[in-house]
Amino acid sequence: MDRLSRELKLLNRNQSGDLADGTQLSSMASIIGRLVGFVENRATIVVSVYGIALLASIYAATGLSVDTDSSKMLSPDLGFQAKALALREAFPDQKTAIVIVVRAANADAADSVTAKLAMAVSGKEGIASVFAPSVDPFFLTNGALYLETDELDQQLSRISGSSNLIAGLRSDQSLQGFVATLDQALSLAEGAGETADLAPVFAEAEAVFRAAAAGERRPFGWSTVFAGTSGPVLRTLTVQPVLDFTALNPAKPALASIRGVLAEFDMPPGVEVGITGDPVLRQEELRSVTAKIGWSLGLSLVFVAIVLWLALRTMGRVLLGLAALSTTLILTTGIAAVGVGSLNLISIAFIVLMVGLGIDFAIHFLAHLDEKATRDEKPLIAAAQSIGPALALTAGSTSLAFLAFTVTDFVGMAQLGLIGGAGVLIAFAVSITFIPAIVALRPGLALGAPRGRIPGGMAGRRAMPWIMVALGLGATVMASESRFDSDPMGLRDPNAPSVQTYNWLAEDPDRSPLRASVVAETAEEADELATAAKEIEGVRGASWLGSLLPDDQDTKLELVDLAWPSLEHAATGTPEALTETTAETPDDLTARLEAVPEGQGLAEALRLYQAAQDAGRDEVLNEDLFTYFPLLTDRLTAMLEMDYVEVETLPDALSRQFVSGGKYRVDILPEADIRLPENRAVFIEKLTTHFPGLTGGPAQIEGARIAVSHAMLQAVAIALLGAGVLSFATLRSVTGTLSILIPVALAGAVCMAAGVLLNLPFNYANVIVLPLMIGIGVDSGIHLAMRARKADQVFSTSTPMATFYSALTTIAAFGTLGLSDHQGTASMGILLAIGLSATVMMTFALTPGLARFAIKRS
Amino acid sequence: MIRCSAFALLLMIGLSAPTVFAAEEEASLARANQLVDETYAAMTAETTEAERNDALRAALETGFAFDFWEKFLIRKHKESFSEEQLAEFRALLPGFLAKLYSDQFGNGLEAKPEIKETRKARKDILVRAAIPRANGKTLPVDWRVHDFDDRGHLVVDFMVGGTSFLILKRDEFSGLLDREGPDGLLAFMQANAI
Repeated sequence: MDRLSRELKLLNRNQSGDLADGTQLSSMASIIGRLVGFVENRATIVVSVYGIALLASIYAATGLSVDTDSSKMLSPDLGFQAKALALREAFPDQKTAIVIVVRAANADAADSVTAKLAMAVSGKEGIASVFAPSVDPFFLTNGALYLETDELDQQLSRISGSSNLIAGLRSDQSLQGFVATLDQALSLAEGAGETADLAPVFAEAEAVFRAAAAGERRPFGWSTVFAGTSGPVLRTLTVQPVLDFTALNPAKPALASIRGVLAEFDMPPGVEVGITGDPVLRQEELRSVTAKIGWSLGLSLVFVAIVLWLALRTMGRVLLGLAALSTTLILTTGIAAVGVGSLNLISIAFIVLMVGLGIDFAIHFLAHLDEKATRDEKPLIAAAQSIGPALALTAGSTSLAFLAFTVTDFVGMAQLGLIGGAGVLIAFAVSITFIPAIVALRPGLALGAPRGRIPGGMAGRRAMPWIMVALGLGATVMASESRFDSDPMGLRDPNAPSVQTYNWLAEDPDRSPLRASVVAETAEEADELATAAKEIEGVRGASWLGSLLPDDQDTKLELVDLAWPSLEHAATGTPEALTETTAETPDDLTARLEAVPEGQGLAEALRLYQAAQDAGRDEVLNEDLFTYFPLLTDRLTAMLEMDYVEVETLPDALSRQFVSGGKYRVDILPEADIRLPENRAVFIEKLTTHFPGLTGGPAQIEGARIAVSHAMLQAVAIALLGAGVLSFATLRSVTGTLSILIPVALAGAVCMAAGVLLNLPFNYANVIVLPLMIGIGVDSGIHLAMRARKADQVFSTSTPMATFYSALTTIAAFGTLGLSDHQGTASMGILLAIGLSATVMMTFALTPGLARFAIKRS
Repeated sequence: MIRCSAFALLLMIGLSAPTVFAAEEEASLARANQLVDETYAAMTAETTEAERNDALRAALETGFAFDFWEKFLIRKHKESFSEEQLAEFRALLPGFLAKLYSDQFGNGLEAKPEIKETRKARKDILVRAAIPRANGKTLPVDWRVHDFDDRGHLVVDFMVGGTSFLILKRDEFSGLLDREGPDGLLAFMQANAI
């Protein structure tokens, strides 16, 4: 029996020692004691090895990248993932498209901005193509064929009745011309007894003149009058970027070009423009994840330093603790760079998590060193033998919690698990090698002032266990209401421009980006699938390539033929002087307008304008009257060429969304807002019954919901099982094991209840909370239970203090993640902080008593 | 050889297009001239009003495609007509259009309308005429002439200042049919027909 074993026996006799009395733990203490003894004797070499490892890690970390593709978070072997991948391969445009959305008060403003943006963006660096349906030549020409027959008929009728008015305005685009043309139209309408037909023109003109009188800008909405469209409208420009796969975001050059155009764009009042689409959402999500991670890291380090000071009370040990933490962080980052190469949006949080977890081992070791330094000749070895086995067990349980996801289909979380698990083992290794090596070189660090204390109320209160049990049981009831939000949009910063723009589209039932897809092998099959889909309750519409052809084209083209001379006259004809025009100023027109009921409002507006009129105002009014007029005449000119639409004549940018590589996509639009989980589940369930091959965004979200929920349950079970086995191996008692697991389970319930109360559902990012809570919570339990077996007054030893302060650092570090704009990261931080706080409270209140009860029973 | 044939074919198509248009134009002009002559003669004849109306109606019956007018005038509502109502509508239509024609172009008619020009309007030909007015000005009218093959070229619409009278009357008829049904329309036509 060597010297270390003798010391071990001495320690076993020491009432304040932590070492368990099991043979395996004694062996572990012996091994760790020998290791620390080895390190103490070769401290310079150990520190040098660490120096080299740190340099290598820093070098490796420079190659670390981030992959923002959330679809890679789940195993590609899952059925819904395979279908989604097949869809993406067949129709790649959907995943790579950038969508510019124009939201305006009326169609004219929206179309004007859309046309200008389409021109400005086309040909810019990184832009492959731009497709803006509302101003695309095909739709300008044939768009009216997509109206319902009666709607088209009404529109053509309006244009026919106003063709000379339009021709007159086209030939004289001035305030005088406007007044004269309106006067003539009124004369003709009075003659025919059809002044009501002019009501829309009068109403629009009234709004413009009233605004001009008030000194405000209000362009005349010509489409509002002649196309019958009114109210806010959305227009989209679908931009296909030239993808640069060497960049972190392959669409970055295109996005830079678009943002450059928007920055310089002279946006008219009442028009908003946003950009969204997968590349934009991913770019902004990465920004939201990384924007405050530096703050979180810095703040968590500050918190850790403060807690270290409270716990250790000497600057030397605080610095030593921080050095150990920094070493852990750098080595873990190096391992991450070598091991995974590219982080994902969840695993990027490892850096902050490791601040909280990495310091725990250092605090426990330094606290024990403090305790042993005053009593042992070899304080480093004594401390290592005393706390080493507990640290090894807790490193094992926390690693296991992290690694629990590696056996699930949730490969995104498995990555964080791998890095976190490795990081915890590194932190353990650093605490039993790096810290002893530094202390060996600087023995003064082993001597410290009296250790910190745990706050009053944390221990020794008889009522605390009962309060905690009541809290836990109450929370268990509420925890049953917790839910999982599988929509990736729920993770993103709701204030991010791309998310807000996405919501503009999602709020419009006909433009919702959340659509299901089915892929067909033939056009006939696609037609059948679309027809069948339309019959399903909850389906707003189903379309395929064939549905892009306007229906009832023969009738519609007959109507267009009928109105064609009117269109031609409006678009290109010479206005006819059909009456004796006298009105040249707004004042001239006022008297005539007052004579007809429909003209009262405009007459009043003209009087107001006359009162405020001046040359400058006339100029502005003139501009407002005709700003959007060319859009109308351009559209009318294009309509003259309207002809039968066939699949071959459809724009390529449109048809390739529905046919690609010989495969046909059927697009299924939901009736309800399927951003709501319950609506989405019903929609997908109904469709899946009919179409086993269903895929697309909503199907992927539903598939992910099931897969991640399953993965979470698997991970929780693994973490619980691992924690139970480790606890039992440590304590060799079922009651003792329960003394650790019961507080953790109750804390889990409190965490879930907090999620319900704070409306923080489980999501892709925070599903790690429960397994991690179990892993970390069990650590505290093991420390306290082991102490409780040796000391009646466990709260008078260093263990509660070390446990409390290490938990406090973890809570503080995790809590700083709550600063993140990224909802997934923030909720992970908040729930972890709440969960760990609950764990500490439960463990302190219940574990020592239960552990002592277990000992008494045995 | 194939290339030469294709070129020849293209050349023939290219050369034949203006020829076809010229023939269309000529036939349309002939129809418009005939209509102008007959309607002017009818409206300015020094006979009784009844005889003038009969002549005008006869001129329109010769030159107008009433089935085309019917198709668009009651397009959406045709199914609501009984056989008898439809027969009455068909009987009234020429007189109604004759009255409309007379009201629009007969008042203050100083001289015979002058045919000015023709131009293509999709499948049809527009024949522009200037109708002299009492105030010394002229009223521009476009006759829309369609080729009905075996029935020849017939007027399917007329327009003033780009406004289609067929569309104008269709809207008016639709309103009446929505409000009062076929009987209401027939009563209206009865009151406004010659």
